[in-house]
Amino acid sequence: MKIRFEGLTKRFPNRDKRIKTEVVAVDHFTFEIPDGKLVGLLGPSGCGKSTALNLICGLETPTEGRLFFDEDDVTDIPAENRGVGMVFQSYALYPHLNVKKNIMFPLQNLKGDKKMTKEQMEQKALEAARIVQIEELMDRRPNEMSGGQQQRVAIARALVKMPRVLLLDEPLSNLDARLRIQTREEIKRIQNETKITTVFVTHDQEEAMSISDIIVVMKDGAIHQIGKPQEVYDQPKNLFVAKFLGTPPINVFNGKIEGGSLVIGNEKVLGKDFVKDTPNQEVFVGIRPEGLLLREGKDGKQTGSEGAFTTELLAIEVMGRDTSVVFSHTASEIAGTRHRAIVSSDNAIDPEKKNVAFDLNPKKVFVFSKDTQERLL
Amino acid sequence: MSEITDKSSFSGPTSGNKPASMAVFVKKLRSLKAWLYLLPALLFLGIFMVYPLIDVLVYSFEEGYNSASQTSFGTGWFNYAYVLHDPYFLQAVKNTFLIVIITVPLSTLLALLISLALNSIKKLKEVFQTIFFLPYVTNTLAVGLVFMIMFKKTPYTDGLINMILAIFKSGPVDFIDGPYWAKMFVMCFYTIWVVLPFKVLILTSALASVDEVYYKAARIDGTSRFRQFTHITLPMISPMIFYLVITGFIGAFKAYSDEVAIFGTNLNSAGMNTIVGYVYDMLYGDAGGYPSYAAAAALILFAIVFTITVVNLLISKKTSIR
Repeated sequence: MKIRFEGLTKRFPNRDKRIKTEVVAVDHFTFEIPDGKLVGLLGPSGCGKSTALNLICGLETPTEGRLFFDEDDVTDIPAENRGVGMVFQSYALYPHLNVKKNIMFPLQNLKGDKKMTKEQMEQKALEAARIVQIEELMDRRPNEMSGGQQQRVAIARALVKMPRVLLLDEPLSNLDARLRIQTREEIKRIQNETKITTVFVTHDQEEAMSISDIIVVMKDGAIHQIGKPQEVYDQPKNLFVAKFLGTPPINVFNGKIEGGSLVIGNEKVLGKDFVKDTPNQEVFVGIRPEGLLLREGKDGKQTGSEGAFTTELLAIEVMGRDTSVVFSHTASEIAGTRHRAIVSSDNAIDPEKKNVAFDLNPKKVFVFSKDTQERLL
Repeated sequence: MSEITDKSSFSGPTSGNKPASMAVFVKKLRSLKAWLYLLPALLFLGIFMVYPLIDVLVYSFEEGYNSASQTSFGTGWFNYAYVLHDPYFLQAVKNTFLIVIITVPLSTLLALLISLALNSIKKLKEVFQTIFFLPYVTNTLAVGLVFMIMFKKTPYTDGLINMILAIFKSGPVDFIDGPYWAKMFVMCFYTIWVVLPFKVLILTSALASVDEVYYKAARIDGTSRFRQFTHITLPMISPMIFYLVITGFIGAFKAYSDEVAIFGTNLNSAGMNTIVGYVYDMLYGDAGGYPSYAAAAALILFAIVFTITVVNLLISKKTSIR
């Protein structure tokens, strides 16, 4: 089912009652989530992504705007009648009920001709449990299970009534690193199997990138970019999106466009092919860690001192598959930042060296306006 | 000291059996130390709890024990037989049970309703909480006086309640010296009113401690308000309800001072005596001086309270497992 936002806005009164201005948690959302997709709402904490989720499920009512499920306007329909399933960050499993009863709980609420017999409910609960692979835990209480298992029960409980939309609020934040990777794959698999339009909220870009069909990058209640994860990563619309996506983070420098070349410090790093007809101005230059290339030396050995962009070498970190070169540069956006370049581990770099120079891969270099922080190139 | 001996036990393998016995000794010394720390508390409990309990048990089997001469006629079940055939005691048992059966469930239910109401209001919540807690910090005698004004018939007035009854063309009823049901009504009314604040306090905090997220989850799953209450709120606060019921039972079985506050010290003639009142009368009352009867009655009360508490605990355990 499609979810369509039309100028959806939520404003809260300020917590400090003396301040009259309202806090805008969700600012004029207008976009559409296509049917059957897994969508990640991504943004730093306090950006309004959980509020957006609560607006979809009906726990919050919007200040303005409309919300549609397919063609139905659900803006004024209370949470209980929207037919959404929600998995809470803390899972919210009822501690006094075992897994089976937890999963059956939503079914027992059904009234009228939707009412089910006990056998039907047990059947449904078992099906849901099978999807998340916890059918052997049906008699356990929530406190007798690990975080990952509780998470699965919560998903089963949200799925059991065949919701039109499945919502997950920070689904992986309470799990340890290994379980997180496993669970995110699991969420992807469950979504693939059920084909239910799924929206999840996260502040972890890696989590969002890895499983979403579409990511929505938010900041301060506003949408900054919507798109497929790779698209958003490769073509960030502004400095915030570029900085928010990617680990290690993008390296940002002060630079300028001058006479048809891109200049960082006093080096011309990229030429006319890249800059084209952009007028001269001060800019921010963002370079992805993988966009910094070491040039091979004359004797085939890596000298690291050639290349267009000279930096001060701080350290070499060997990761096995690849090597990270830690460096600093006087033109850093924030002075003293430890920048990183990811290079192949085939490169042998002498860690005693003072400087290291790189060539730049133009596809991995983004130029942003100093005033608007919007992308220029 | 013990540290040194401990180390010496590892001085060499040649010393044979001796270090082993030393270690045992050190261990014993340590547990002795623990007992030493416990001693003040144990002494206190022993003198003021355990010894009197045993003494009461002994008295209850000694026929016609005289505390002045420390003599008795013999031993046996005589005291129990006497107490169980004493109409005053039977009346006291009846009164006590009535108070327990009426006030404990009613006060808990009322407290739950009040707490739910308090929990759902937003404005002036603290004000209402304070109002409901006031009886808890009010002097018993002052409360008794208020009840006198409300219920007592005097040559000048029939009391507040009778004035209200008169509006509905009924009464007047003499609540203090009148029929048994009227006196019992006042008694239960008073008891409930006195125990309510504490229960409201406990239950409001129990209700507030239920995580909001469960209600959110329930709402999204289309759970009705009533089902939210019966399937989420009640199970979550049930430990507190059980606690209140058990302490309520124990408290109501020990009722005495409230009865005195309303009906005066001669509870037997008012027909409103309780088991504890009977025990007191047997010891110190006008017809007192019978520690053996008092002891027997006290032990009967102990047996009743003990049984009910055990039953309560068993029920609460069973429901919490379910």
